[in-house]
Amino acid sequence: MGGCRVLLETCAQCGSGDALPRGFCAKCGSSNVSPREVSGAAVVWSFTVVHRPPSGDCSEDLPYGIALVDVGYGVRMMVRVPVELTIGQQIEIERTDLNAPPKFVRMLHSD
Amino acid sequence: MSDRSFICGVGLTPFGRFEGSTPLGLMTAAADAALADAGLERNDIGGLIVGYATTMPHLMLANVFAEHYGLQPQHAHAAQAGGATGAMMLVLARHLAVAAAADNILVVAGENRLTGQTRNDTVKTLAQVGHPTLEVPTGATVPAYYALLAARYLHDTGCTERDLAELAVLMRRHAGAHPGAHLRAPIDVETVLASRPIAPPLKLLDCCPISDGAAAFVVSRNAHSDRCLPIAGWGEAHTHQHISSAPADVTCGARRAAGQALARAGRTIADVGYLGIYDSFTATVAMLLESTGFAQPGRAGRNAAEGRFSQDGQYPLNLDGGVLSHGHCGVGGGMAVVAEAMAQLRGEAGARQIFPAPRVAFTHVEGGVLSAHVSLVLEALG
Ligand SMILES: [Zn+2]
Repeated sequence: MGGCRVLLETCAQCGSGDALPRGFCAKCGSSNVSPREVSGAAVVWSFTVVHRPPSGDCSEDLPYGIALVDVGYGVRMMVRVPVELTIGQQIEIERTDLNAPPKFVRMLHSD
Repeated sequence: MSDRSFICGVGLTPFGRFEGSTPLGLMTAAADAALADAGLERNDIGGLIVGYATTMPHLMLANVFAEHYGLQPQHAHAAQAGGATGAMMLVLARHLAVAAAADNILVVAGENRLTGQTRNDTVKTLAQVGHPTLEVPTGATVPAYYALLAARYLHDTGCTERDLAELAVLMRRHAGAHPGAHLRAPIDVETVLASRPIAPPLKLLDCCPISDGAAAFVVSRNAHSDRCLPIAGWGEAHTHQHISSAPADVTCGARRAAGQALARAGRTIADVGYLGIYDSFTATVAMLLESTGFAQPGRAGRNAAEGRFSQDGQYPLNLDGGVLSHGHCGVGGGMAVVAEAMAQLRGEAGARQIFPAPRVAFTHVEGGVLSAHVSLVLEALG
């Protein structure tokens, strides 16, 4: 099955991955890094709901969910999600821009 | 060269809503109180460390304050480590004293965080603790960053929201005995549980208020009186900035800093008679109590209900009400945690005083999202 993909920066030297495009590896210092897509299947490490916005700008969206999710290479990322989610749940996310958070796509049924 | 250093003076303004207050005005009041407490004059001060103020961003806040207050120290710098700044400044002052760079170092911070800006601005400024491209765009807030830690903490330990509420209730009860505390009206567990959701599992009364206020210390090479308290141990750990880059063991920085501070002091947790632990949220103090070894995993809230952290308990905790109820004016909020430890060690805490006065106090503050950790062990002299 295809499914959505998540773009990371990965290191050819030590094999670690990074959500942030630093142009070098923060683990080993190598500059032998390049973008790589991993599976968009992510596991929810934690989850909350924002009832009060960080500024007046986005108050019309309230409330909204925020999750920390784990993807490949041990990378953890923050993503805006629906308000009903549980820790340990699998969701599908997509990320095509190394300078932005991933986007929520859909819930996945866990086994 | 002596590696001894002492906190010889402390000054604290009341915390709360003070219309018309200014950062420099609040800092001046705290500095005056700290100098008077230490029995020193302005010209005794050779070193100055000033904590940042969100209502007065400046490249050189220490020089600004020195000029305002009438100091020309040999050393001056401003410091930033979020909520950990106050204790980190004490560590820096300790280093300056031990290096004989100055005999007396004034450490001061304060701001009109409540009345000096709109609440929206405050929430927005604080949210910038998050990563600018990877976290802030999701719309997360500081309470949300902590709520993510809190939700995982509840999931991992079996602690409940009701258990966390016990910590809010305890802090409010303690604040009732402190005339300078921001929030003093008693609350109960049901009130905490019924308070409006901010970022579940955190509700309004799980969160500290935003306050105006200031705090100051004088750190010295020599003890001028028996009211001077040795900085017996100190430890720091800086594990990350952003919550998405935190180590797998998210509270390991607290454990490391605490271990260093106790080891340097030659103490164990069994020696500790007073605890000052940063409590920006109920979940923060629960996680910090457990990672520093003063409660078993998941037990801090229930321990609070059982009296372990009360004035007459095994580990009296934040008897000023902590930042949850005494209040939080930024850097000064973390400093108040240490100020109450000083009051208890000196036996000068009035209605809040532990009898007999404790000999050893342990304090821990953190900044960011469990990012910067500073532990201190303070002792009574002699
Ligand atoms: Zn590498």
